[in-house]
Amino acid sequence: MLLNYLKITFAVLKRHPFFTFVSLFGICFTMTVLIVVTAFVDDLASSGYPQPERDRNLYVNRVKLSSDQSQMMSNASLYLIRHYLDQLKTPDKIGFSGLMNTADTYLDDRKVRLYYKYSDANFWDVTRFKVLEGRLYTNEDLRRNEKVIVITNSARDELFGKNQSAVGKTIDLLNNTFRVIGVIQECSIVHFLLYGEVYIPYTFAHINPTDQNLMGPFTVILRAPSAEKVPAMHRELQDMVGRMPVPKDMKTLTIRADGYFETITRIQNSGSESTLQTFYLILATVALSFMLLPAVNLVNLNISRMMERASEIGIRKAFGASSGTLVWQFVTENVILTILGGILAILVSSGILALINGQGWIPGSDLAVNWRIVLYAFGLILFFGLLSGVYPAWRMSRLQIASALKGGE
Amino acid sequence: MIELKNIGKVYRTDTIETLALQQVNLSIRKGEFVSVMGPSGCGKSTLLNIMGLLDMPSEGQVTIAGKRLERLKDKELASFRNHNIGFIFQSYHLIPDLPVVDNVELPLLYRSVSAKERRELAKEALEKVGLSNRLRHYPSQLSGGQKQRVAIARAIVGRPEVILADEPTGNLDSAMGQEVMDILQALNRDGSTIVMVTHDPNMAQQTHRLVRMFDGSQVS
Ligand SMILES: Nc1ncnc2c1ncn2[C@@H]1O[C@H](COP(=O)(O)OP(=O)(O)OP(=O)(O)O)[C@@H](O)[C@H]1O
Ligand SMILES: [Mg+2]
Repeated sequence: MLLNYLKITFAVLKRHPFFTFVSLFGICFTMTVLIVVTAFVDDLASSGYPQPERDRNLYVNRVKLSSDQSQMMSNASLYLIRHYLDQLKTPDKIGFSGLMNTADTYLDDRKVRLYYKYSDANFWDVTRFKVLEGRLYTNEDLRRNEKVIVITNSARDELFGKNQSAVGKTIDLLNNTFRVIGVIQECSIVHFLLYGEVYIPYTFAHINPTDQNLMGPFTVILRAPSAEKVPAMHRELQDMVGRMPVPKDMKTLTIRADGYFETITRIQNSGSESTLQTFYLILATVALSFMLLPAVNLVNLNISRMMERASEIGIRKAFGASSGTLVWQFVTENVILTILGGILAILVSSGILALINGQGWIPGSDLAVNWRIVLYAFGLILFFGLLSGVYPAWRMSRLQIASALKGGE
Repeated sequence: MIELKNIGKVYRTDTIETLALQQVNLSIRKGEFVSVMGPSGCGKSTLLNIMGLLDMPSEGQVTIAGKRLERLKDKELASFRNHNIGFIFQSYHLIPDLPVVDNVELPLLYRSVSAKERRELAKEALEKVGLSNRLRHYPSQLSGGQKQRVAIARAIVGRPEVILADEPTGNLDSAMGQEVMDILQALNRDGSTIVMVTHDPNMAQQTHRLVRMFDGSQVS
């Protein structure tokens, strides 16, 4: 039976090239968008580099002061880190890094724009960047005020040529001449809390040592000895925050420390205190509406196509097809069509992702259609095929034979 | 073979009610070749559709091969049609997306018959109507007479006892019409019970019995 469904499907597709094209294009387009988006989410969610043990960490990057009249919100200051966070007992390591910024450097009259980030030396302990060459800066380097930086492989390729050694070479940046002491494997820019092309010791960030403001540019990573200790670490921090003096004119001080995904998604919906759940909700809604629109379209397309085939339905019924059999036939046809569109979409999106990787539009990205995405895509395809096939099929199968035959004349 | 008792049919739409059939009583014996004539709109097609279980009567009883059929479910009706009745329509009603041989195989698709056997039976049926050389053609590549012969092959491929033909020669010129008529007569000689609606007195003459209808009722 299935073989016959296949046969009639291909016969129909072949004999209605316009319909086939429109349907395939619609399905392929939608699926491509979904697959590409999934690849991003997948890359974000699954890739452990450069922090394979994120569940041991809490990220502090939202300090909020509010009074009846006003509200201020920012990242953490060095003062906050040194005077308070460093006193925490639970964390076994505390590292921090600044915002992602750009600066220009000049190389034989060539201007190169680089993403840089300030960090402390512990930053290299709370991350696991792969060192390709040289070493990372240490507390000792910072104490001696050494003008050293760590760069990524992509910065090295751009500045000194592909796979050329960079250690010992110098870069003029931010009115300083820095010496490269290490090259690391870059991470995806999706992890923007950690991403940079050039990492500079925070001691060059011109921070006023007497400033007692709690707000500053840093994201602090608190690493617990194990994932189980994270709640305790959170509690200790909140206890400390409760005891911290609130600046005058202000009423309440809140400092948030969240897991990795909550932190980055919160930043993306900038300002609002929305949580991970709402982020996923938004993602799901977007995905669903992306599916729904073309599905509704396809349902329409299917209905009109099946109307054209009303006489076929009448004929099949007259010669012994039951309504159930016909529903199956049309659903199968539709699922096959969707699968064809889906396979096309997998091909197209592989191409697009390869292009994104190759062009370096998203620095450090390593997007790919892996088996997880293919699986997800096929789930979508089936859902899509059923969604857009069942209703029209059911409607058509209920056609009165006599009128279906008339309709086909 | 076919027993119609007090058949009435009313078509209801939102605005009008059309009385298409009233009080029709008709009995057709096994092996009979019956023609039905009457002016346009008198209910001939409606009658044939009810006999063929393509449409439900508003009242009355339909019995075919000793089986009461008004209360069967969709699935049972489909199976009954499949095994017992072959249809031939004025406008052929072939599936345009399928080649001739697949069109003929159609009734066998809804039975458990192997693909090989289906193909053989379809070829056999096409041979009977003299079209074995057109297996791979599509309906649009055939003449009217050829299309109707394909439709006949489809009607007989499952070896039903009853063949219902609604103006099978209505779209054909007299020579091709006669060809189709000859095939029907041959089938009848082989034992098929045939009911044929026609406008052509010449065709009607060649059958065993003529049923005349007028305005939803049977007049003779
Ligand atoms: N689906 C329908 N809805 C409403 N009325 C219908 C429907 N089908 C048929 N009728 C009406 O029922 C009556 C009988 O129709 P039928 O098709 O049986 O006539 P007929 O004798 O086959 O005519 P013809 O010789 O032109 O084919 C007509 O008056 C027609 O208008
Ligand atoms: Mg008619």
